[in-house]
Amino acid sequence: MILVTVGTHVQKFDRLVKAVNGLAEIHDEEIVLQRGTSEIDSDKVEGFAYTTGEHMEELTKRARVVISQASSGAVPTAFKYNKPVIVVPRLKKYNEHFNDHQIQLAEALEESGRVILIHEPTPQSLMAALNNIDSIKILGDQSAPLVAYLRDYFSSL
Amino acid sequence: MKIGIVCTQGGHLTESLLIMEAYEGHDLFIATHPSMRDEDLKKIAPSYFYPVFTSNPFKMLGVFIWALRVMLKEKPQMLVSFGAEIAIPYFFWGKLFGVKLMYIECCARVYDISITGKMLYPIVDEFLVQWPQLLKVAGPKAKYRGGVL
Repeated sequence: MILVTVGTHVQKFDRLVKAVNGLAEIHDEEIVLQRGTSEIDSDKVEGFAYTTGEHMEELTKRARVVISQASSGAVPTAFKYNKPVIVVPRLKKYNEHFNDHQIQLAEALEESGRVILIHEPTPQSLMAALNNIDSIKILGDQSAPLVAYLRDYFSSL
Repeated sequence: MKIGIVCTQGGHLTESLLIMEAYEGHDLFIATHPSMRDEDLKKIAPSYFYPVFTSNPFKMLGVFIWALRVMLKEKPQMLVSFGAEIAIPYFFWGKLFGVKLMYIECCARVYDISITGKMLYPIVDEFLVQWPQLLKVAGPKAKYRGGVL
C-alpha cells in the first residue's frame, strides 16, 4: 500500500492530489490518500480529508511507501516505522503554503539520502521515484539524543 | 513536576508526541487547537483546545485569557513548545509566573528561525534547534541536542 498525506495545513495541495490520482491510473497498487482541503476524488484511490493520529500511525505501519508533504508530522512518523519516504514540498507560488519553508526540510533530508525529493509531482515522476525507492537510506528513529537531553533537563529542575 | 506541552495541532503536535518518553515521570497537560486528534490527546493528558486564531486583536485577547485560565488551573513548572503562535500567550504568562520555558524550533526549520521562535527567543530558558546549521543564525543561546527526525 502507498500512503499519501498532505497534512493538516488549511491551504489545498492539489498538485500532489492530482498527481497521485494520475499515478493510480498507471500503477497497480492500493493507494490511501489523506487529502486535507483538496476536494479532488478518484475511483481508484481511497481518499479522505483527515483522520485521527492513531489511524494515521496504523496506516503508516501498513504502508510500503509514504508520499508526503515535506512537513514535521508525517515524515518523522514514517521514519519511526522505517518506511521509505517521497517528499513533495508545498510551495508558496502555487498557494499551497504561506512561505517556502518546506523546501528546507526536503532538501536537507534529500542531501542525507533519507528521502526522494520531487519538486513537481506528476504521475510519471512519482512512478520514477517508486521504481527508485530502494536507493533511500533507512535510518529509523534518531530522536534518542534529544529525548535523553530533555529527560536530564527536566530532572535537573 | 508539571509540564505543559503547548503547540499547534499539525506537525508541531506530531513532533511533541514522538518524544513522549522524555516526559516520563512528570505530570503533563496539553494546550493546542482542536483537530481530529482531540480524543488521542485526552488519553495522554488533560488537554485544552482553542480554535485556530488569526492576528485579529480581539481574538488575540481571547487567547490570552484562555491561556491564563489554563495556567492558573494547571500551575505548571515548565512549558515546552515546538511552535507555533499558540505558544506566545502561554510563554507570556509563564514568564510572568516564573515558569521555566523551553522552545524547540520545528524540525522543518533548517536554515532560518520561525517568527514565533524569534519572538520567544529573548524570554525562554532553553532554545533548541534541530539542525546544527541553524546555530549560525539562531543566536548564542541556541543549542543543538539532536532532533526528532
